[in-house]
Amino acid sequence: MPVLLVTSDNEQFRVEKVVAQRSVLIKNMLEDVGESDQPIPLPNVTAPVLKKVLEYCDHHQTDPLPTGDEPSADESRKRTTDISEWDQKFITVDQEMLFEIILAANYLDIKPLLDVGCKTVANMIKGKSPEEIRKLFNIVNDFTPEEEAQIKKENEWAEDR
Amino acid sequence: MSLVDLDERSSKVQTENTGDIVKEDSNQLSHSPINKLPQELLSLIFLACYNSDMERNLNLSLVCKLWQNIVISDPRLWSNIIIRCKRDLTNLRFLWRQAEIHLSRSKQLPLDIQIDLRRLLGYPDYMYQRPKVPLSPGEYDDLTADTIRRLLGNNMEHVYRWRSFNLKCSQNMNAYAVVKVWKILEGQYDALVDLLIYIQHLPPLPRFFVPTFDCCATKQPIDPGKILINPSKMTSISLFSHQIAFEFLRMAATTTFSALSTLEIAITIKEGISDAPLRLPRLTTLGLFSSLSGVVIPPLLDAPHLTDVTFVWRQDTDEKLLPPSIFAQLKALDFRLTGDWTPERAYKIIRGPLQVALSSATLLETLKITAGSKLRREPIELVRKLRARGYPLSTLKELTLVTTAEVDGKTHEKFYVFDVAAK
Repeated sequence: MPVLLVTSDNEQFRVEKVVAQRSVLIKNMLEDVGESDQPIPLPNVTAPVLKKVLEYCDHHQTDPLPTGDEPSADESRKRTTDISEWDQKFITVDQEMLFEIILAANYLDIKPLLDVGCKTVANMIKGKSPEEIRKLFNIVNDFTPEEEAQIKKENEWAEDR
Repeated sequence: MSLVDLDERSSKVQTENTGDIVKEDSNQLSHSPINKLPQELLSLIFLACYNSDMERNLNLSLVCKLWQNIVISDPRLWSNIIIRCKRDLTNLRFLWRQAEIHLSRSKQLPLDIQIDLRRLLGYPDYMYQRPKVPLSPGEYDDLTADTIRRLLGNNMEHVYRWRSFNLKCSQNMNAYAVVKVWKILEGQYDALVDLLIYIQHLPPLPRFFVPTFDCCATKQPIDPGKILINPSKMTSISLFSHQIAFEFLRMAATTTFSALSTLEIAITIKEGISDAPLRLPRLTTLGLFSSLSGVVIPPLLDAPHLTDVTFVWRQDTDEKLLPPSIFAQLKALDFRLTGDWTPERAYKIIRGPLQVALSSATLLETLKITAGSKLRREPIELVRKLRARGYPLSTLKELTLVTTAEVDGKTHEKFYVFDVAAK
């Protein structure tokens, strides 16, 4: 049975229930309202972002659902930054869209997608100097030169290995 | 600087920073899409940057005040302590400070600790560097032990929250320094699930100098002279030191390690090892490492789920030391020979143990052999000969030969899979 989703910019998406239910938020909403053809409003997601998110959900519709348990710290520790080939291609988008996908995955509670998004950004950060990271993400350096020197001094233990 | 000073300073920095963030948020938002993300999502991204916590945290905290604040205040970013020592012992204050900061900022989270001191200088190399005020050999040993104690967090105050502990010591430590390390390791490890200790093989020390293993008994006073672990929690134990492995086997002979799935031990002398069976109901991976007198393991191993056995040799071994019982339930067997061997020599070393394994493992389905840089077909021939001699090996279907080669400092493996099913 299809489900009707309505985005913040009032676009409607009709998708299969099995696809929509990759989102724990939508799954819970559907369980709450029972059998109903009422549209589900998603006020925090715009149409272009939802379109992208649904593409992910459609591709992964047969994956086993996450158990809902938080991964143990041990699992997090062992987690690598590897991303499957399809996911990698899927997430090759501009930065604005990448962060929108992360926000949407968090709001819609789609843990595997959130994971892919975070890993992608982590891979962009990895191996870069603070200056390179600022440049990459257009972040303003709000430290004064004195503050920057002070942090470096306080952290000399980290550099002096 | 004391730990308290550090904490006070860090909370002061955080308070000051919070004000700055409010002031500059609008400026940041207009420029940087990444800083639109809420702090908990930025934290998740930082956690996914998997390299050493130390490098990651410094780099991230130098990006901007918002990031610095997140890094300082998220304990998850400080719970993985990795210390790789490249210096001589007299210049280690930076590492001590690193350990203290991690212990403080990780709050009460479980700790994963790796300390690698394999590159520390031995006393002769230390003296060769002509230090201005040279220490005596005894003082240098004391410093070794003191260094490790301080790296472990001021007399093990945080030991109750250690989840994994991996200690690799220098090859250059003498017996006196090793005894001091053992003394430091005495304690009650209530939360420990993963333990790895690597200390070079030394001539056996009197038992009095080595801590024994025993069970944790919560709310009991710490039993001096013992490493207290929880046999129902431990999932992985790797002891690359004869003395401590020996003590572990002594405990395991009377205790069921109900959660243990990986056991790796280096035992070099069979004498004194109990003949009592080891009961390891969840064990799947067993590694036996030896450099002196061959592989030695207890004759009875009750491990119904054992699927992966690894033998590592560095020289000829006596296959008679391999108890056939450990192969009885095995479905997959992995033989690995490390070191630089000619193909002929490599096969000569593994032939005996392989024969014992194949003639005992009646349920074996797959066999993998890693030995040297050139492919040798002798193992296939051995399977054929054993069948001709009346060992059916009826379930054995697949034999994988792995060759290894060093290219640009990296080990490359090639796999050759053969169908060896009985016709």
